[in-house]
Amino acid sequence: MDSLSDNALMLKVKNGDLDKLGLLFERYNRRLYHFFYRLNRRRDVSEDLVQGVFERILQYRSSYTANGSFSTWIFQIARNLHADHYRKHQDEENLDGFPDLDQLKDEGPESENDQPEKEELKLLQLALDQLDSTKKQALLLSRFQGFKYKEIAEIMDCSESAVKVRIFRAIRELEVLIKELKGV
Amino acid sequence: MINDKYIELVTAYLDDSISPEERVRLNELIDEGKIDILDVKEMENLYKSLGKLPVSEPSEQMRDSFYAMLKAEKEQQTSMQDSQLLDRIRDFFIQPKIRRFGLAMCLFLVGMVAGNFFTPFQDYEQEMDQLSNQVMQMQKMMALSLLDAPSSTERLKAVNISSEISSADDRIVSALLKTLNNDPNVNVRLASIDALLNHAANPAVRKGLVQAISKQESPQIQVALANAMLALQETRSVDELRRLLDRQELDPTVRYKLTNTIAALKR
Repeated sequence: MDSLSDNALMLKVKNGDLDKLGLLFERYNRRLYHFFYRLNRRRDVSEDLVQGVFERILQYRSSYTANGSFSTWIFQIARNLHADHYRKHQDEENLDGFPDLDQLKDEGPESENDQPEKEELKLLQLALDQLDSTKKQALLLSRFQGFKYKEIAEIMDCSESAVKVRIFRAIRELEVLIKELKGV
Repeated sequence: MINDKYIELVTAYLDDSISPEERVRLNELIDEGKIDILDVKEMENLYKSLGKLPVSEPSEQMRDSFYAMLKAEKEQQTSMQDSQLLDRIRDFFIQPKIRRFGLAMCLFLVGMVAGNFFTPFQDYEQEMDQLSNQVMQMQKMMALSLLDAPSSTERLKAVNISSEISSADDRIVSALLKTLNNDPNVNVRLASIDALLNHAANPAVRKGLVQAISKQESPQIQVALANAMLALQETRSVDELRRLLDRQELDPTVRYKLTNTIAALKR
């Protein structure tokens, strides 16, 4: 095993070398943040959730076995943490609700030539935000995190076929939602 | 609209994990009109468009929070390791066997220290000499006290003890000579001669033995003293032996012995 591989670093963390968790944080903090942010569209919550992931890693480090990929393990934790957060705060906020359109404007392309594309992306984001959490997570893990369907199945604790179905249906739903938003 | 039974093929095409065989199959289905290529392209475009969605970046605050948490965890781990070490040491000494062994070791060490304090190791030989002297003094005391005992067995024992004393002082010599001259038991008197012979280097002993010759009535003692004079080659005893020889009642065997002894000493 490569001494600087994710698994090797995590085993060192398990054995008490906590400094190695800093390396893992540097490798994964942006990926995790983007995953959470695309799910809930809240910077503060996403940052808290990233912190929460690493707190859980420290908490459960003794149970780490290095069987399988570290990236699927950390995203399993991320997914569980997001579910816990959603359960706790579902009465306070609608995490999968409509996003702040002004925020979208800030994050979109700048030039006037990009205006049509910007509108398209706005609609896409609105549609994405309306997907149910399970389909959205499968889509995000595939499109943004670069996981293979088999790895996503591991993260979501389901079959590979189920992942493919969720992604297929998510895209189909997005098409329908965009058409609805366009008023077509 | 793409039929659900082609999900495997389409999703493999979307994430570019499609195998050459699946690609051929997909093209066949498109050619056969079972899958509309526009639907596939529309899905592909939408899937790719997702990558263009903007996303914010995490703040420095997130990094700071993480490293603060990590630092706190490391400090906690260090303190836990320290306390675990102390717990292990405490648990080790809580075990009854270990506790007893530890107590025994402590007592042993205290004994060693105290022993060294009172009798340092370098004075060991000196201590042995002192001890030896003390034993000898005790032997002398015992011999002196037993020589006055009413039992002849006890007195005999005292004479034997005195013969073992390497350096008899005047008191012992005097006591043995007194026994030789006065003890009512012949065996005790005979033993006292042997005991005195062990200290023959002492002039007082030799003088005492010579002076005792004329005082003896027992033939056994007289012969024993004659042998002693011969063994010591004590020429000063000749006069005493002659004085004894002048006695009318002297045993013939003793007379013969004394004559021979005088002749041998005068030679």
